[in-house]
Amino acid sequence: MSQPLAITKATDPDKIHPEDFPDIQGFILHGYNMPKSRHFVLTIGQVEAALEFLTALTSGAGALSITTAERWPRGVKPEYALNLGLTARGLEALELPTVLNINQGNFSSFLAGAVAAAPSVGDVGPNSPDNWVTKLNTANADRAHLLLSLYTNTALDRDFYSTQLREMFARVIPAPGAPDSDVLEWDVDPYVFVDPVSGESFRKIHFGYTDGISNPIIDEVGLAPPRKNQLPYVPAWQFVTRDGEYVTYNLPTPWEFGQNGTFSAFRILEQDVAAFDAFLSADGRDEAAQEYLASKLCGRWRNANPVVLRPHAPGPRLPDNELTDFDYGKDKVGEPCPYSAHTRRTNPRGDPQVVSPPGNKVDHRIMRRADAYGPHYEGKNDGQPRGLAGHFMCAMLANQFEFIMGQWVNNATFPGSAAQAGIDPLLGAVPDGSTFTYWESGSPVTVNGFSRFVTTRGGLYCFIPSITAVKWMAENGGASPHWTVPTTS
Amino acid sequence: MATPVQNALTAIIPIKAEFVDKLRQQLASNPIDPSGLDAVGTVHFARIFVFAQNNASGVPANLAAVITSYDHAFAPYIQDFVNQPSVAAFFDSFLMAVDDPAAAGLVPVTKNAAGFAALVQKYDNTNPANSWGQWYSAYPGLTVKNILNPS
Repeated sequence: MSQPLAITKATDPDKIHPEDFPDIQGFILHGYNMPKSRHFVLTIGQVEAALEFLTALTSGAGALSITTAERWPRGVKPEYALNLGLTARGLEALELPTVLNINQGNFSSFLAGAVAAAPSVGDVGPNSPDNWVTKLNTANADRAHLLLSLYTNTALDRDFYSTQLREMFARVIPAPGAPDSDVLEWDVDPYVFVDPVSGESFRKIHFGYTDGISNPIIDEVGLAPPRKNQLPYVPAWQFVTRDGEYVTYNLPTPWEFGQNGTFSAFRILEQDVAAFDAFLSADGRDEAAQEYLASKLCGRWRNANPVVLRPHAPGPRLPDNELTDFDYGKDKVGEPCPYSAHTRRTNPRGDPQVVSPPGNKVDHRIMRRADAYGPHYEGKNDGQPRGLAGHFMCAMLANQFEFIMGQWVNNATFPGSAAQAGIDPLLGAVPDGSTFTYWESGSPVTVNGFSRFVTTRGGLYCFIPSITAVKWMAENGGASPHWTVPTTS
Repeated sequence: MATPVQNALTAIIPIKAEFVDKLRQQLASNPIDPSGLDAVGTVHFARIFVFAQNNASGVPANLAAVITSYDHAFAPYIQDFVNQPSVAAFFDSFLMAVDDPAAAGLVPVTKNAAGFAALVQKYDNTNPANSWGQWYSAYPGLTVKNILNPS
């Protein structure tokens, strides 16, 4: 049985303290690096059963419990990790008391949901929520209430713990055959590449790039001072909801509900690897030319070396700290790293042409906990769906996730005209027939025949509550009258 | 002409009667610290004033004008804007003078950036979402940052 929490209102918005670990869901602070995961999206059909489920997930009495940020004894991974998110409609379905207050100005994106946010993040046209998978699409999203993310070390464990989890939530969902009794289950199986020379293993996305290189580091008591060129630690409140004078949002109240949580944009992004490969190999490019173009699209070579450090050829993989401790320095037009390159778009690293104030390396960051799904691409178009799925977390969806998607990824003009930037080729809503421009010896080089390589297949905005919040909901749900999602003012 | 990367804001905002003279005096005697706007790095020009008594245009003197040319979209960048202490300090004071039931509840503006943006846009006569008239830019592709940090 877990020990009762004695959480008090946090007084330090900037740093995570060790005593916070048992209250914070683990994947907010730490990537589990577990190779098998399964995401479940379900509808709450029975409130009392849902409240009992929340109790079971936090009391230690259930077959599975929510995984917190507590360090694993001797660093040994458990057989599973489990995390929980709730949509705004999910909170409403729990019938929480009206004392609940989630500020509309700060959290309007979460309250309105991912379908409503679609235009602001480029989920239009083929990416439209109308075309998303059942349970998340426009017709059904209002009844997508709970997101459970299960991580395991083996496929066998994933099946075993999935069975137990399904038994736990069996009474929560509508009865079999009733509307919305279906549960979306989405498996994620990252492809692990083993370097034949070094024997080291790296995760890769289906486009062939090494994955999981750079996530923000949340400031925490006891961290070593940042290395000379390391990106600064990000204040905790940007990823773990806290109250404080300089915090740019009003903590949801009561604080027992609002503190130590975060928000997530859960995303399912299908990747058209065949189209990507066809684009690279067009115009008779040889293998080296294809790799060169691929590096310009991403901002990194496929072995993760940054283009800004290795402009002409990938070379051997750089040490881990060099993969992250760099910025775009004096590259004001996009040579060697194009402004539209994916890594430059999603993390400009203080680029004075982009961020405000210039040099600001901590605002507008997101924590990515996503991996590849679908079979490994073997070089020919097999028609199998594959892509990337998981959580993109932050305290303010509007100012972090949506800002990155709307103002950087899908904004062709953000660095001004000199850069001839265009839209992020690996993540943006690129219209078919677009061009991609990079710079070579001071002149722009334009590559034609560019099309969309990534299509959104699903999205869900969730609140990732603290353990205290889950207990608070379990104890206070089922109220009458109860909190409802506020309408747009 | 290419669609300019810049946009316009022309907000005409009602001021509570008891604050009109005080605000006019404050604007005349206490210049806003420009370092905050410098740091934001997306504002080309900005001016804020209260219409004069008996002005020739016949505009009521209880109205303040916030007029600016800025880069990119308005609302998404407003958090960066109000994160600057001197900017936030001014608008915290300004909001207390605004004659709108929503205004005072937006203080401190740092914690209420989206609401602040919505309030300003409510009074913006040149909101890009509306069809509002004509807009000319001598340098449609250049941001403030491009101009201050030429290649």
